[in-house]
Amino acid sequence: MALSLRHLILTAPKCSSILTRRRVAHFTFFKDQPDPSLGPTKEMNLCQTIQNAIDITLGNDHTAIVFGEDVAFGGVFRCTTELRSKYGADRVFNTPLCEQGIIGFGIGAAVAGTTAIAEIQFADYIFPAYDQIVNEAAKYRYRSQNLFNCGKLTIRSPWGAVGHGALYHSQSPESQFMHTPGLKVVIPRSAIEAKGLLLSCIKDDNPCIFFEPKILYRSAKEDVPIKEYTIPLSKAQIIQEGSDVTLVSWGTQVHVLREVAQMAAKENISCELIDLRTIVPWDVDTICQSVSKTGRLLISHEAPITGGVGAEIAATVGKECFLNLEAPVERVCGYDIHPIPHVFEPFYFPSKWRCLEALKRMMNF
Amino acid sequence: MQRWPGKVYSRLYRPIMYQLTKRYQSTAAKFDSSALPGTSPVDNVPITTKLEFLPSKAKSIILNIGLWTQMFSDNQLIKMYKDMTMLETMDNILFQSQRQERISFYMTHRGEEATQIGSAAALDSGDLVYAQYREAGILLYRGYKLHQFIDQSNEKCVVCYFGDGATSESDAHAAFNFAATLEVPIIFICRNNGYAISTPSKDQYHSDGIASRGTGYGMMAIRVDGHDLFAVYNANKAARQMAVNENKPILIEVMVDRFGPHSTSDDSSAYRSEEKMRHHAKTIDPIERVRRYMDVRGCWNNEKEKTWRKEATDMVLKELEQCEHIKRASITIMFDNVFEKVEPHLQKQMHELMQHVQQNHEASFLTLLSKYEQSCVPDK
Repeated sequence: MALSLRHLILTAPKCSSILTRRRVAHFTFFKDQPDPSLGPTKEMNLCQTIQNAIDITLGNDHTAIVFGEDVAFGGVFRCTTELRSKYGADRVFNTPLCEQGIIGFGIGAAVAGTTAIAEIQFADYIFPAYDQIVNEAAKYRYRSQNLFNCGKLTIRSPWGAVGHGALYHSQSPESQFMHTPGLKVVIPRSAIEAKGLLLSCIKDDNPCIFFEPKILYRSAKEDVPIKEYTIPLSKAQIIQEGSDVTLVSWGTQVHVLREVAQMAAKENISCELIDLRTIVPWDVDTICQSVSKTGRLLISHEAPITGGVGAEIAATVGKECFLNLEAPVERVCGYDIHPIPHVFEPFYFPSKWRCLEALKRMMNF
Repeated sequence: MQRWPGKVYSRLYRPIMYQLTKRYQSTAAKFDSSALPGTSPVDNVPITTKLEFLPSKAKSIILNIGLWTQMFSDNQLIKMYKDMTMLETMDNILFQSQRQERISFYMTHRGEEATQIGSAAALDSGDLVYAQYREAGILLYRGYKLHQFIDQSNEKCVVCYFGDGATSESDAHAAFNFAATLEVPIIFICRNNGYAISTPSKDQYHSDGIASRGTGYGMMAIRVDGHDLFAVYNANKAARQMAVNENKPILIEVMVDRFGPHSTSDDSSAYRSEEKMRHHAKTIDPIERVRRYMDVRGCWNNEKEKTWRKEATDMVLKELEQCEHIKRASITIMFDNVFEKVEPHLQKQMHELMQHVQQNHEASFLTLLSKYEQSCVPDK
């Protein structure tokens, strides 16, 4: 039965307000300030910044190509708008609907010397390409002992919770690639970070996967430096110094932890907040030095807790900083259910409340 | 229903049917694909009112044999023959050496020599080859020059070899579709030898081989007798020209027989008659065919054959002996080339391993260690 507009308007007040009200974001976005030495800036959100980074790459590197599903018209998230008209159909093009093919093709192009930027429309869809990534891209240089390599391949993909993504538009699969030697996995927390990190991934001579927090595409608006700049890979950033507890995360969750740090400060708990940035190879030294100072570590990520990136960090810190620890390492993550069930997202999520609870547990240990 | 008188019925039948079908045709919308936004350019699709499926198997694609469009010089012919026979010599010696535990693994190419040499000869030296595992002949033909990188110029093509079994993997589907839609100058060469280890092709596909898939992707295809050096050469030459000049992929299905087992780990008598294969091999041996042609042409004879065979055998045996005395590479190389540079976490792991190695003085461990070159670990 077709619903008429009149019917919809009349029944609206009777609907459950929790289910139909537009979901409010689970975090507050904290802006970063641009480095003044990088010169003039422009207000851009995350997707505009990504487009800018790709534009710079296509402009400077005549071998660079961008491809994937729906890339030609600008992309479902508008990250490739205007690039086709600027650089031509030979360099910005659609592929058939086949992730295995997108990555397989990207590997071949990179091996032949092309800077290949492959887009996987959602990180949830990366799995058909898993074999190509793990058994081909990651091993190319190794199995040929450097006769050939696909270092010029960069894979970019929208990532993470978006509020209403459900099972197939919300996943954070970074741990599944952390476990594969030969790959680099990078996740930015903001527009300024994204530009520098993406340009580093593209220039890095190893196959890189760049996950873009899709919930930040529009909401992460900052004054982004216009010129080209890079941010080093495998270098975590201490966003805020503190002395009582180290908080570690990446992507959207960094903003949740920023708020947690503010809430903790009201109770006189001094938090040191670190953005991991590169998931693998990760910056062990920065994390361990911080935990040696504070004695407490809380890791938080959206992905389910078992076998997540937090587990690797916790195990390493447990070994390296054992005698410095005042409390067991806490991991506040998604539950071990499929990320993320549509109506239960607020409860699945490692919210600021759950993080604060875990933090206090450590302080009172 | 009331029965109509026969005459009236037959007189009325035709005009009624005509009117009915005429009306049906006139109200059936003509499918104008250009009127719909974003549809594929399959223009002028004819329409029908008949419910009719296309057959699952069209007329079988012809096997192309003996395409004699190219006259080779004596030198070219002898080079190709020598490469085919060197491959055979390598196969014989190295297969046996695996059985003697002198090498760990080997795959023979018996029966497929013409496929490999013929296709390799038809390519440019700068064309990029992606091989599977039964293509050592290509390397032989190219003189082991593995460091040739693809030339960025527009006159090179890519060649990809694979077997009949591999076409069942979705990689093959993805590759065919991408090559066709992105208009890539690539030659797909399927070595259809009827087996994927023990699985016969009747369990692998129910289509008319692999060549029939070409139309499914909008790609031209040809089926060639893989035991015929000249047929393979000419098909590849023509395919290459089309690929490079028209920027499109070509699919070549090469029909061959795998005389030997899949590899040294396979005993093919478990699933096929060895005697039948031996008998069959004698009648169609690709090396014998070239040899007979060269005899008739007068550029080869028994004397030359004897000398060359001895030379080839000596070369392979000498290499084998030399290689047996070479130590395995140093252990630290295990950490190289995972990434472009040895990342800090790998440096750490390498140092841990070397520490462990240096501290272990157990006899069997030292024997194992002696097979490897000495490791030289850079200071942290």
